[in-house]
Amino acid sequence: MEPDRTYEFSRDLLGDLQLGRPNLGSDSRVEAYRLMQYRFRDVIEKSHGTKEADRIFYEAGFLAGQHFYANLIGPLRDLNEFLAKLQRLLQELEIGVLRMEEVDLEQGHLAVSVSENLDCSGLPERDFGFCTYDEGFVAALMESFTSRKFVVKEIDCWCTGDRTCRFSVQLAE
Amino acid sequence: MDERTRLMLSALADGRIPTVIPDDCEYARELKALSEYLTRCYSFALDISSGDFSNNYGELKGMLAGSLKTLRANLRHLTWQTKQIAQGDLTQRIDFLGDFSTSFNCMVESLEEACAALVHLSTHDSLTGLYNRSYFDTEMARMASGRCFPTGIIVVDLNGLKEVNDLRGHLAGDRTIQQAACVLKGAFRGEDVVARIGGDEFAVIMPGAGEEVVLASIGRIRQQVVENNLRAAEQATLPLSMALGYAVALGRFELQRTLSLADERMYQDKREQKESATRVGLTVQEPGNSEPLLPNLASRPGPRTDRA
Repeated sequence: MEPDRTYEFSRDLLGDLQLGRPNLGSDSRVEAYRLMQYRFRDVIEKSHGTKEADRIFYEAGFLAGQHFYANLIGPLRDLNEFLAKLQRLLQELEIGVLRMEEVDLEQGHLAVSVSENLDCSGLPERDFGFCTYDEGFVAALMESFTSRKFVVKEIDCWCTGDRTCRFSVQLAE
Repeated sequence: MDERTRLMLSALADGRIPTVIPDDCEYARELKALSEYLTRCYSFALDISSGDFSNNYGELKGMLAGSLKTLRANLRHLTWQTKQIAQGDLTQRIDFLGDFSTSFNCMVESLEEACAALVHLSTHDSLTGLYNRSYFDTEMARMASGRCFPTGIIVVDLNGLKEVNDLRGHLAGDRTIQQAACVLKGAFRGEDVVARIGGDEFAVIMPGAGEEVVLASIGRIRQQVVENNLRAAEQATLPLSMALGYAVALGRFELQRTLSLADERMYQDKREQKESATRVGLTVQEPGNSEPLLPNLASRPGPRTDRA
């Protein structure tokens, strides 16, 4: 049974920014975004452990990806149109620079990279990747576009010394 | 410091990777790890330089390997973009790789322009700039699979073109065809497909146009023919005369029949124009010439107005 909830995410929770921030506008600094994201992760990991924190971030990214596709991209049928629109939107919204390295939807495999990633580019080097939220986000985009389930795994990350985050996207079925 | 270690560090500083590292020298473990790392990075760089992206090198971390991975990612993306372009997606542009990007993008833009020119050539009539028969047929097929109905079709045929060609030569005939095209271009909406489908035959597809809209266009054609012929009389050039027929398709299965009906009505109009001209002895004479050249039928009543 689902626990009691205060609210479920909906588009109106993004708010009316013109009304609410007439002077400051709709943009904020990346530091503010990262401060919130990584403090959330800090607290969640402390309370629930690394594995559960990763799962929660993947799921949050997944829900964000579903919302992103439904409200900003879809519905589309053509793969090239989908990729071009996604690439343009991620750049316009300053989320990252998406580049396709390999796209074979018939075989159910894609390899994509994201440079200047909002989540991690510029972070100190660690021996693990940071982008579980992005994995969920990409998985939801692919599922929304194809109606099929995908497993997304970050192969390289800024935080492991790479200058670009690379994701392997594989059909789950 | 151990002399052997010093020599190996010196070699590394000169860009050489030591191949033999004695186990008993100082920092042997670290030197072996560094040597192995550099050897792997070297192998990675060689693979990239030869265009071989098949090896993963996923285990290689750190900024040196990271930079190589970024280069590989860019080249793989470039490969993907090139494949896309080969498949006809000319929207691809490169925003990395410096001067190469500029040249590559120029090449794609040239390709895009060349493709656009080829598409224009293959879909347009070179004499008049109107769409050609091939494009007209393609549009008819596209309309037949769409839902944009009613659709009006007008068929237009130039009267007396053969006489113009025979008496004044083909250049004069070409000018007459161009004049007719100019009149037709000015009489239709931007979304209408105005095509030259034969030597002296034109056809127009009017998506979403019912009889009222079609008749308004026919009225504009007639008006423009009158105006054209007034100018022609002033400038001592040849006047225009056209036979017109039209029909309206209410559904996709009626399109071909509608075209045939518009064609039949055009011929009926042509016959009626000839009979009328013969009856009243009304012909147009070329200025300074007593030979009749084109029947002056621009102001005659329109063709039948019933639907397909």
